[in-house]
Amino acid sequence: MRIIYKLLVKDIVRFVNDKTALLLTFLVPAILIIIFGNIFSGNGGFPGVHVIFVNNSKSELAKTLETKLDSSEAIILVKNITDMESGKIINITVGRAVEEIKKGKISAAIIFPDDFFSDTSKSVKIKFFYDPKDQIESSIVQGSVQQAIMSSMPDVLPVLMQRKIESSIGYKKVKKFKEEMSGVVSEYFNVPVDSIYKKEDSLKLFSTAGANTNNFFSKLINIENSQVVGAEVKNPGVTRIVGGWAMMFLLFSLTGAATSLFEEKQEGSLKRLLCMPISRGNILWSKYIYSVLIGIIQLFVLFLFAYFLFDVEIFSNFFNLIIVILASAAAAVSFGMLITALSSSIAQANGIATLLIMIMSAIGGAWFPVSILPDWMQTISKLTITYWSVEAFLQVLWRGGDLTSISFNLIILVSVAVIVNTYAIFLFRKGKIF
Amino acid sequence: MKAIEVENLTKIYKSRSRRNDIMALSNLSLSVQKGQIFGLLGPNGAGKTTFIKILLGITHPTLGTGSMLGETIKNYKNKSRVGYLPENHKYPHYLNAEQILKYFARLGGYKSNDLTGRIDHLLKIVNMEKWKKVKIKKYSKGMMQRLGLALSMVNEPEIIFLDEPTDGVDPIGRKEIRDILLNLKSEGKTIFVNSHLLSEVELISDKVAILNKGKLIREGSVEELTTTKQVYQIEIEETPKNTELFNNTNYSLIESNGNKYTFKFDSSESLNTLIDEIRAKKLNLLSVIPKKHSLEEMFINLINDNEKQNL
Repeated sequence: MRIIYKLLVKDIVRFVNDKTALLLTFLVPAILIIIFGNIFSGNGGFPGVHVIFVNNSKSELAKTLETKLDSSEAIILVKNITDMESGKIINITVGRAVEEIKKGKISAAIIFPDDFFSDTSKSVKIKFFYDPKDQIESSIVQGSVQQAIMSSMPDVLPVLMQRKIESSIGYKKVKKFKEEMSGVVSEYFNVPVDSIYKKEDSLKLFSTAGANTNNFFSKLINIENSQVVGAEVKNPGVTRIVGGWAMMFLLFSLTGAATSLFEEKQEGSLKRLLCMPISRGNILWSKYIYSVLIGIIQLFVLFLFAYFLFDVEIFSNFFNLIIVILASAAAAVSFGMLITALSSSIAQANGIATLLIMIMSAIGGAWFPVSILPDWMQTISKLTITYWSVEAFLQVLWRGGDLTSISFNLIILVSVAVIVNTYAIFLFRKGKIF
Repeated sequence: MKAIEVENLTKIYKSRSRRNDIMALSNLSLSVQKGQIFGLLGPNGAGKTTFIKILLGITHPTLGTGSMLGETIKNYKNKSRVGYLPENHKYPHYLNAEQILKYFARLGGYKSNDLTGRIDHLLKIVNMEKWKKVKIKKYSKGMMQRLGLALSMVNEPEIIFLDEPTDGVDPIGRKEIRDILLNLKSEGKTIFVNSHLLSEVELISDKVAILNKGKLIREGSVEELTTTKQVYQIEIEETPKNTELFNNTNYSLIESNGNKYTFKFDSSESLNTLIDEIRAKKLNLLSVIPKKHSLEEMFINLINDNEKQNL
């Protein structure tokens, strides 16, 4: 027992002194719990999904419904936009709404058209344009619209149903039925016919609706869905997520490639290289280029797998995909080089890298859409290379975006690669590697 | 002409608190002449490896300057004229000797067209020609050391740095390595040896420097360092009947072994006084030999003295 106790103490002391093990055991899970908790508990301030809203109807019902949608916590209505050319705030048209969705600036638009609801309408007409690049986001938007409409229904449903029945069996028959029913009720309860006319009308019709509610409502509320982007994508599910997961694994593998400098140091091969007529810059840049090449090959193989196994279309926009792969790999390696330069051992580098990659993946859009994160997390997510890379992959694979559409993402990724890598090389001169 | 020259070289390994900073080298100044075999000695932590690392540009000095073959040590291109055998070196285990030598020759800027011939020649010198195509993972420690030696020579360097060159090598191998080094010296190469095996250094070095705690405490030829000043061993044919002649204020008897007497003298005149005394007593003087320590004895005494002074 004493021996077991001594061995136990040995293991505890060893664990306590292993900072990397402590980091991975406690800090990484704690931070991930904070991130997930903020997203899914509802306490983190879920800001709602931004949705373009265009109300071209002059009906009171449209105004009522708009108010309902405005009060929804799940969606935020965007009703006007700053025109880039004039700098003025302008109302959004239907065409502009579709254009914004195609560009990937917003994921959905709710349109109340001119004929949303008129004096003779038998149903409410709504147009819903959307880009289901993020399944969670799309579900939230559609669910919110339905909820808002359904909560407004008590005000309009009787009218709609009456008009629907009148159009089916004829006005005269309906009138006759109502008069007869009113007479019976009046006689039975001993009240004037005029005072029960409306009540009888709505009660009767509601009970009829109960037979097949969904079918009945769908005839009353005509939502015209139009998927603006990604309709032709063969496997939407995998196409949406492949970029995010690819980026996460890329960060892991390329950080490993960069931290291999520590292994080379331990082996002595780095020392051997340093005494050759080559500069430190030569060594670091060759390591950088090697890692980028590995990253490109890794991503290409991963996308090929997605192509063959899941029909993810990679060749229709292949050139742009390669450009994004190149920029993402360059940025990911610079991240690895920075971690290596700041660390004093391979264990420390791996620990820090694991922590940061998990955080970047969680808030950068690799695991779930950034739009469902709290506001403050969305702001931080833009500081991660995962965010810019995942957005660029989506633009290329999901929207078939051209070079212009990904240019900003590319500028960010390449700038990160250049600035971070230059800084990392500067740090290497002072760091523990050399 | 000087192959290596450093002035006031200081290296401090900094830590978070200044108190824990490590002074690896302190105002070290020394020079190595071209064509010499130079031995750098010192106990563990004396700063030997740091010194080599600075010369080879693996680490940078905190203060001081240095030059090799007339060029500043900051000029990394100058390293094409330098060979290096690191201590405990490792190479990719999936390569063979030929591949390793070719790779480092090209990396080092070796320009001759007959690289294969050069590699064969080097492998023959280090007695490894049979292992040319065998993967390194099958090599013993001694074979790795021989390969490392060949690698240090592959670019036909003018200076070769050897860190523990005979480490893991059997006595026959050591002799072979010594011969290789002497041969290189005869070709005009400068060889800088860092070794714990003082007997090896003693056998081949022209000049030796001893470091302790980052400071140069002794420098000179092996002869100069091992010869103990004013100590002579005198051999007399017969044992004197009385030893009064050994008692003098100008010299003292340190040790006697049969007819051999070891004296320490105040000056060279005192030695002549003793010789005169011996002759006056009609004793037959057989030999007068200046007393020498081995390099190892000298090293241990020197380090111990230095430690005492530092206390």
